[in-house]
Amino acid sequence: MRIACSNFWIVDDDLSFGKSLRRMLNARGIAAEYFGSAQSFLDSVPPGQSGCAIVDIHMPVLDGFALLKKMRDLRYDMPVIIVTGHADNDARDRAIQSGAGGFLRKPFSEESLMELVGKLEGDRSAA
Amino acid sequence: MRVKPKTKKVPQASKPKTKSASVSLAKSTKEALWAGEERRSEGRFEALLFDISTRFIALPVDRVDGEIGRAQREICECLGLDISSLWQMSPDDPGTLLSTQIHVPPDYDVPVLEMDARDFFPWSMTRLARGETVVLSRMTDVPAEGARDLEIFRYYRIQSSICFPLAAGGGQLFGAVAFDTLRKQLTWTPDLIDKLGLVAQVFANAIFRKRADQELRENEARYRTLFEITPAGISVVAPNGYVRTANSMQARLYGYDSPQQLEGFFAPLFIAERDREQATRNLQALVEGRSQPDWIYPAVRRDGSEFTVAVTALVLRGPDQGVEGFLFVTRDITKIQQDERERTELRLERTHLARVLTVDEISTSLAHEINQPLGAILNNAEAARILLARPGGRPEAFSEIVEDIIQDARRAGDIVRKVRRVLKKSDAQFERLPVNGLIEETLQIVRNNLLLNNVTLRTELAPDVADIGGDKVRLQQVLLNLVTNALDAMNEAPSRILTLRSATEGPDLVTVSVGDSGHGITEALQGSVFEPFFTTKRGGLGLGLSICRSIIEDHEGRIWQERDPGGGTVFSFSLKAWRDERA
Repeated sequence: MRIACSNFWIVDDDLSFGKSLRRMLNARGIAAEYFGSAQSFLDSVPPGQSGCAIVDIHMPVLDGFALLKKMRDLRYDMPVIIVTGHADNDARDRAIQSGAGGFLRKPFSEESLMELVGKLEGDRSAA
Repeated sequence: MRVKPKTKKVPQASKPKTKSASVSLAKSTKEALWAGEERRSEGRFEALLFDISTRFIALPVDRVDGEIGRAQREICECLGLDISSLWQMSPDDPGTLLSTQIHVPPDYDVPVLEMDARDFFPWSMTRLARGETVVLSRMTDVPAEGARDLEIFRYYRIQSSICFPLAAGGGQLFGAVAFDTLRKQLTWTPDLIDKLGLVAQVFANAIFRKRADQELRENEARYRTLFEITPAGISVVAPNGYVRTANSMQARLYGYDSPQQLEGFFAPLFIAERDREQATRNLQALVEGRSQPDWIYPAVRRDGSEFTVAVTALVLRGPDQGVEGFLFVTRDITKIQQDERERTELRLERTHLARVLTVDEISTSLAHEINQPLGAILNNAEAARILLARPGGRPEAFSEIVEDIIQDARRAGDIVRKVRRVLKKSDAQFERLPVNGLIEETLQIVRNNLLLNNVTLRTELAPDVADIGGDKVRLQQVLLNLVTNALDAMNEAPSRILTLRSATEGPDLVTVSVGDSGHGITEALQGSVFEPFFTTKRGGLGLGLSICRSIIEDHEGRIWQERDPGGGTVFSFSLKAWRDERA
């Protein structure tokens, strides 16, 4: 599998999930940064940055959808993968409608993440 | 004869008129005559003794009294004796002798009374009590210490007397039989004493048998009454399983008209076939002392219908400890069991409904909570797998990864336990609970629901609120229900504010309120919100609040709702503050 997306920004209020995801990507040799809230991501990563964002829906203050809207407003140019531990069905639709590149339910395997990333990369190069 | 003397007054010894002086002349002649007759009468007496003892063999108890009386008369006639009296001790007062059979001459004019033996015959009684026969061929044989006895003998005009103790098998004295002469003195020869002693023994045995029989009958009657009035089926069953006897209730239980129909019935057939073998095993275990004697079985009536019985068994053992049978007490517990089952079902149903309501509403929240650590575990495991596959991977990273995996697995476990604690059906356990802690714990469960629904949480928890006594899980269910109701009420509302308050009302009352910013409940419906099946929710069962109310009422508390002046509804409950003496 070709990994085009070489830089990941993880935004999740769950410290242990975020850290573990970063660790997994790092083990793969992929650069990844972790942010505990939407605001700290916006503060640290300017819109011109490349990479791929993995954003959790359920976060206090600014949730995943709010961040997605803000990124669109601020013209961030990076694919966003929305992740959630929540079981409700309309989250996926809502994520895609909000402009997310992909949707994953926690827990997800490395394989499904990489598959989605590969697909996103293909989409982007086709675009 | 049964007239007890009013006083223990000494009968006047002078009162009986003795005719000894006038008959003294004829006395020797008569004695000689009697002696001449003696040999002939001796043969007659022996024949009579044989006859009497034969008659008493296997004598029905109801004929004992009659036969004794007849024998007394025959002996007196045969031996030329005047009186034969048989006395039995009063069952109420063993010191009192009751004259039960007496043979007296037709012209005898001294009333025979029921007497206090301790007063009338103190000396004789002492000897009889020792099992001795009181032999008095003439009244001068009475020693000085028998003065009182002598006085009484004289009163009755007795010249010679012999009195045998009545006791069975050397047991307790229960009476005495006496033979007396009035008209002459008689020398009680050892042979005569032996023979009369034999008669006394025959009488004693017969009376003893009669008494035992009477006692048995009385006992039997008592037991039979008990047997019949006991509101339970009783059956006595032989070791081979066949019913010896049963009471009416047993017959009624199993659909028979009379207990006689059950005699000879094979008892295992009382129990439904599927449990019959087990019942036999249980009984064997009871005989061997390995089982308690109480069981519950499905039972079968005569018409084949089934019911449930509780059976208590008693092993009947002989003197050698061998099993001689079983006594079973059987109660029909079908109704009790049914009631209990219905109660349990209702309780389970209610709890289950409460659980469904809360589970439904928090399950999304639970999924989120638990998927976080699961996701982290998976990520860490994948990282470890990648590192392991890579040559020269840093082994020190593994301990960190494993540590994190363990932490997250623990977190997942804690979440499950927390939720289970809330949902678990538990017996009410009253304990001291901090009110604010209870509220905060409940809020943790719904925290994600609040975030998901963009609900602003406002807490107004009094810092010094008193503790309450209650069942934590049940009270959390109440709080959860009120909170989820509040969230539902605000579904369509423009502003969503959930308010939780705790306050101390007076010295011993604590109030907890859950307020929402929904549209409120119309006045018309306000009175019925706590009624079962009241609901404004689509698909709602309307049992949540009714369950809340019963939980709060179980805690001797009160639950109510009121309109918030600013819009919305406030549900409150108040509970008694914890007092140390409640513990």
